Amino acid sequence: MNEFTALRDHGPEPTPLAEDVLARARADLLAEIRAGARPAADRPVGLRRRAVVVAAASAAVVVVVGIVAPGGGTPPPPPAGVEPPVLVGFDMPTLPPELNPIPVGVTGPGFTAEPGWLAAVYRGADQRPGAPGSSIYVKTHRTRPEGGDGGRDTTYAGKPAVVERVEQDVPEFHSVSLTWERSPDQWIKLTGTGDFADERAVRALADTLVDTDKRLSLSISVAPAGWELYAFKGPGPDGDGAVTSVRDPRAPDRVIHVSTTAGLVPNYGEVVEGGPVPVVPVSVDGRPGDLVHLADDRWMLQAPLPDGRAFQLQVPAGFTERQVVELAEGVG
Amino acid sequence: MTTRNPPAGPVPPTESPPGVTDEHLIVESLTTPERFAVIFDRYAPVVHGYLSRRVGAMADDLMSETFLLAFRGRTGYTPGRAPVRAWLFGIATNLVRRHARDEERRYRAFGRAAGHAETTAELGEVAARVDALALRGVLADALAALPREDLDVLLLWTYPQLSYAEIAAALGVPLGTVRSRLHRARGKVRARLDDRRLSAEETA
Repeated sequence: MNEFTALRDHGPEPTPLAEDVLARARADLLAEIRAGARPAADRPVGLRRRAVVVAAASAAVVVVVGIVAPGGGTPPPPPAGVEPPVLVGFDMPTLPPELNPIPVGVTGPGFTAEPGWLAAVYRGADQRPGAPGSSIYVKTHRTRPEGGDGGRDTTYAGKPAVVERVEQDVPEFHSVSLTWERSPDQWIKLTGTGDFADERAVRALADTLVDTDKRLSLSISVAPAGWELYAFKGPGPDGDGAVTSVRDPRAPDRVIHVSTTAGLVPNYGEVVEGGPVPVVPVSVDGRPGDLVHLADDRWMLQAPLPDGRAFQLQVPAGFTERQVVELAEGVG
Repeated sequence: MTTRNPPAGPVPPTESPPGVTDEHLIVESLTTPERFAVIFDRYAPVVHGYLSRRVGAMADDLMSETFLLAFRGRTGYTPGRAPVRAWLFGIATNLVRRHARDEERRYRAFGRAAGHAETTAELGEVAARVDALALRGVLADALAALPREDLDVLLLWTYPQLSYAEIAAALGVPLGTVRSRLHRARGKVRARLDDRRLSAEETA
């Protein structure tokens, strides 16, 4: 018996997880999710009308901003297994205006999005995921975002604005938001938490916003016709961990993910499938990549990026091998 | 001013489609937050098991808090850097640190309980049980005496059996630090066990 088995066999024993405890914890989580529960800065907006960026159904690179009604407003998904999707040019959106200078105590920004909005997130320098801390969210909306019940009408920069304070169970998660129409078709919701959860602080931050023409560090320039930008997030400090995803709005389970890693993953076929799987060597813009065809007809591909990092591409079933490589060559 | 609504009633578990990776679920939850419930269904029992070994009944609350914090902080999760489970255990370990004194008290109590052998068992069973209980006491003392950093690494390695890389990601420390902390913690526990064995041999 070594130290580890001694601890497992004779160390403190786990207490039973009662069914009611599990159910209560799950209900708390669902309440957090459904009833208000996203971080104040992430409250859902425009659930009835969502602006999405759609890949145009032509070979030209065109951005179409569409309004998709949920439910019956979308056409049915195409019949599976008939023909592979048509790939077209895809244009990524510009990022939200930047805080200049970046306030003391935060780093960033990182970026995230949902259909209808983009957000730049400035987190506390030492803040760990999920831990309380001081953060700033700058979200851009194409339409007026829905506020909570407690918003207070005010003005900012001579324009109508709303200030909203959201109190959470944990004081460090309190937040204050300022929302206004910064320019035609660009609404800004600037939210501060922790040390920035103060109306004066949020107004002062709003004064420092400057436009940017920067786009996401991980972009997709090719996507299936009709697919929409689904989600993205910026990279970590080391440049890895960026994610960009597009999906078929007619079949939301069909998603293409691209993510960055620090380098190529050794034994790729074993890693992605949990067992030995043949790896097909491919060329992605002249760089050697690994392509794996999974048992359920999905694809995984990894290849290096010019800056030394690597990316992984996850493609659902229904695409050809050639198309997967085409998609990979559109990653930059 | 807005306040949170009270928790809703129990909700049936979300189906967890086979083949959907944890990372995929986190990404999906950015746009469909309900998808995060699948992460809860997958990991709540193991996170609770880990927490309860460290803080006992307080694990009920900390397990719930772990997933609330994870949900709120899901945009900070970095795919490719660490598996989702390592990220979750990192959050859980952070929460345990808030209750360091409770954890130490638990170990002390666990050790004291080792001194009470039942007297109704057969003689052979009593001997084995006394031996096992004595071992519990030694382990409890060893855990209570470990520095917090070493204890976190040892217990993440031992109970959820995270890898070096996963522990490094969970705790936000270099991989080499994990190795050295685990080596140090293991040595201290081994020394306690050796002391006990030596003592037993001397008195045999």
